[in-house]
Amino acid sequence: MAVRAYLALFFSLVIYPLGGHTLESLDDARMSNVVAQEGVVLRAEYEVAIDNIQLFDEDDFGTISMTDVNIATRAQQIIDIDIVSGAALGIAHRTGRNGVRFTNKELPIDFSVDIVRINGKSLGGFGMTNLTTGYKTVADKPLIVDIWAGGYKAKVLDSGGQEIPYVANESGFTVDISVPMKSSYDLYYEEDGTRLGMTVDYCSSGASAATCTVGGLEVKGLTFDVTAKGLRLGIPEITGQVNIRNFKIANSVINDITLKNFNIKPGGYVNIGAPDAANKSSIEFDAYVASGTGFDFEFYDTSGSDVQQMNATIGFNGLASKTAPSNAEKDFFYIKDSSINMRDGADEGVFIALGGIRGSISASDIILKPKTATGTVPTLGSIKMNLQVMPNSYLEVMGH
Amino acid sequence: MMKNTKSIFILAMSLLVATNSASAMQSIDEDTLRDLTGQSGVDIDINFKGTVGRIYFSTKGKDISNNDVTNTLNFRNFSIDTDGTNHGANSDRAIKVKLDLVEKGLKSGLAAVITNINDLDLKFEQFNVNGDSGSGAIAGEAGSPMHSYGGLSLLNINDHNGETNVNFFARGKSGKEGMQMEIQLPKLLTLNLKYTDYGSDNTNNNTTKDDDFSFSGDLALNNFTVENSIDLITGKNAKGEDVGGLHIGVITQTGDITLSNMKAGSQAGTMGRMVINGYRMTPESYLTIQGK
Repeated sequence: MAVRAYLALFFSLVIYPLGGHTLESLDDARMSNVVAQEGVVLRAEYEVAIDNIQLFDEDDFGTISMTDVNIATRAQQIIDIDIVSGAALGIAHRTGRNGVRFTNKELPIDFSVDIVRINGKSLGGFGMTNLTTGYKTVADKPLIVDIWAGGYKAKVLDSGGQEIPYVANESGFTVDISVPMKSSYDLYYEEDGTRLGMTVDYCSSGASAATCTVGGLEVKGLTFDVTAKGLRLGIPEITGQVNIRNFKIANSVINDITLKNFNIKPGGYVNIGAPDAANKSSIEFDAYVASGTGFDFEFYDTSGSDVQQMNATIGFNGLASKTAPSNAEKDFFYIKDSSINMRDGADEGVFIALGGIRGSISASDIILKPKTATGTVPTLGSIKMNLQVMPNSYLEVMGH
Repeated sequence: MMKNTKSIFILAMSLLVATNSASAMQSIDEDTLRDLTGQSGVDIDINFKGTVGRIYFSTKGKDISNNDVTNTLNFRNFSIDTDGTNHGANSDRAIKVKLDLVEKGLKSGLAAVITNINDLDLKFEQFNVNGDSGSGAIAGEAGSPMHSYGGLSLLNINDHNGETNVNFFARGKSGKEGMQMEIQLPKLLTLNLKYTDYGSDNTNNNTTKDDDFSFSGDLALNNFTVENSIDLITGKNAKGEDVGGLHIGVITQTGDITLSNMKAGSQAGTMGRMVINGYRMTPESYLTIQGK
């Protein structure tokens, strides 16, 4: 029994510094299964301050830094921790997986970075405030994060070219996040006293997260692995709605934006690694978005009941070449063989070299209509852009 | 008269001895204490290499059919080698620990001074959930398919001839119950941090295979100090919720952190160097651990 108590203490101490990252959620069925379990509850209030975080490029000698970083709770944060089995919880897509569940009824956390600098020159600051799950009563849902053992499921073919459905023994992390419908937070970027701000929520039933009756966001299958090329982050499936409200510069509102009806095709990923050459330093990256991935985009004005809004369906697709296209060309919109270097010098900064971008981006069924219009409305048309950015293209970001 | 003189002398000597005794019971900080020649205490030299097959934390609950289930978080093959370079070569450099019972202000307790950390290796070969109940080869390696979180190693931990101070104090004289834990790392403590992601190849046990890849970096901690209060508390908040439990309060947490030579996978270069200066957790921050 004493051993168990010490293990609980040890486990809790390991988790403690990660408290700020435990943003999680669950549906009713999953939550009800947790209630009767043994487990650990953490209650914490904290303020972490860091004078400076710097990333140095070891061969180009440039730096990017964040000054006066602050992470603090506004009230007591309560985290439930459970060890769970996908099969026992009846989660069909996690049968055979086991993991640890973090449940947060409330997340009263603020985060701020006072100044971001590139080679000592300021880009301004940014932060997140008023983060809340909106949890008031037992009828409200908490934020739940499941961290399952094992990473992405590799696509392995047998000798006949058929996919082997299950690859065992792999390690890594698979994260599922359930964000409740009443969650919201404010984001800002500020420089020279002018602030670009917005409120983000996940409600699909109204104009306010606090009074929301339908909504939320489900993120399933965010994977973390180490592969030969570096750190692999698997792009998750997403269902739900994201609203960006009160999008404004200072007090000038730029209207609201809603992203919904996400259709994230499986297999997409981002890879972050180092150069494959000794004594070289940079952040190499590739991003592959599976063909057919897309979402609905709405841009609207909330100042009146009859103002216009613009809708479109945004899509990403592979762009096959006429001759023997590779699998990447057929199956993905991709950015490959790209790198980030921090270059030192008065007129230098973060140098983003693009090894190649290839794919098509489309905005389909563009509609411009009064927000309250019902029934069939005229469609303006669709736009499709076949894009190929050649190697040696670059983007350089500097402060001033 | 002679008798009175003798009595006064004895009284004076008694008071002098008593005064000196009282002084001996007053606080002596650890720095002073360490330097006292002839001060009693315990010295320990630790030369150790060994493995704990399995450490686990388990919880009981119900599945969706209301059947009892037990879930376990397993730490597989936790190994310690106090001198990874020299073990078995008859030239092991033992870690030295000096233990003293001390008083410091209103606190009293156990003070440990640790030196000669030259090449300490700590390895957690695998973390998994509901993996197995045995020990030995890591789960999933020998025909028992499963997923895991991977493994974590802290290798070549070196104090660079500094000393680590670890104090566990009772706080009775301050009028507060509970313990106070103080950890002061040496001015520079370095180690190699390595996370390993195991692949699905299970053709060989306990050896690095072609599909095992790691994220690694060289971690340096500068002037790192942690002081926490540890206490058992009880009570309810305004909502009527039980807020009691094991309470860990922050007195001080400060330090600088550098992670350099960051590598991932089989790439030969690095992702640069990250430096965190002036990390501190504000006093009065706390964590309370409760059972359900």
